[in-house]
Amino acid sequence: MSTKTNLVIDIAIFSAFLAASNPVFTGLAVHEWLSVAFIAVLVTHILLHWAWIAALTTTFFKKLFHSSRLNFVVDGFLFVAMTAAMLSGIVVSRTVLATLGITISASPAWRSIHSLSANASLVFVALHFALHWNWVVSSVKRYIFTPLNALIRRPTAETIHISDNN
Amino acid sequence: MIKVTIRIIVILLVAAIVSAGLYALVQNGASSARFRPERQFNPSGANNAQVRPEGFRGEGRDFGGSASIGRGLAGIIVTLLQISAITFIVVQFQKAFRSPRRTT
Repeated sequence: MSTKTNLVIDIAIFSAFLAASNPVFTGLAVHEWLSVAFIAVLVTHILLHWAWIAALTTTFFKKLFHSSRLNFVVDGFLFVAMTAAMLSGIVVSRTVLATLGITISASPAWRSIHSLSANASLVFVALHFALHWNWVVSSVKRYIFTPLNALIRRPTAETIHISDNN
Repeated sequence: MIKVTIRIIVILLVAAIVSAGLYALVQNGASSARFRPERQFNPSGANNAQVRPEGFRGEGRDFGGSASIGRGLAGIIVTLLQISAITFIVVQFQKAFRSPRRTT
């Protein structure tokens, strides 16, 4: 998978996360369905980085004090926090379960768990983002800023004509 | 294709295990004391049990379930600021503790 494809998918995931983590922006129904759709997006993200996950899972304790281990631990916590947010979100949902015709007598604790795990997800997303900062900066420069810069500085047909006359 | 399907099953299986663990924890009541919903301050002295607990970010007592672009955008900006702050702290921390490169 190319870096460009990874960047496009990651920007889409981040945008979806921002929208899903602010139910006031989307409304409750869209918030719930967007979060359900987010499961597929997360699975895709994990599939794209499967080789790294598999390699680190098998060699985790061989070289314990390495920056990739910190990445792995943060990603593990992020996975648990997001799973907890999605599960608790489904349990307390008003639209998704009603559409599916399922009724659950949810304990009030689920609401607190949803709030807690969503806030934890935000912190771990930020840590995940920070630990990949160098990749983010280099990819954004290469695939967004450089092409934009080239587009702006590209000589138009008129300027080429003027310079030819001179 | 089979390889991808197996990987998807593994991811969903791990998610199912985490979910089952959390569900068992909540249903058994082991965590019910720790995750009691927050009670709001009520100076009128009314029954606290009737007060709707604060929910997920932006899902407070004023949020009726409908979208509000203005308040939603404000929420997104706050989220972006929180992520930026954490990113800034971590990147600065990494810079401070990175071993200096040799110049010669």
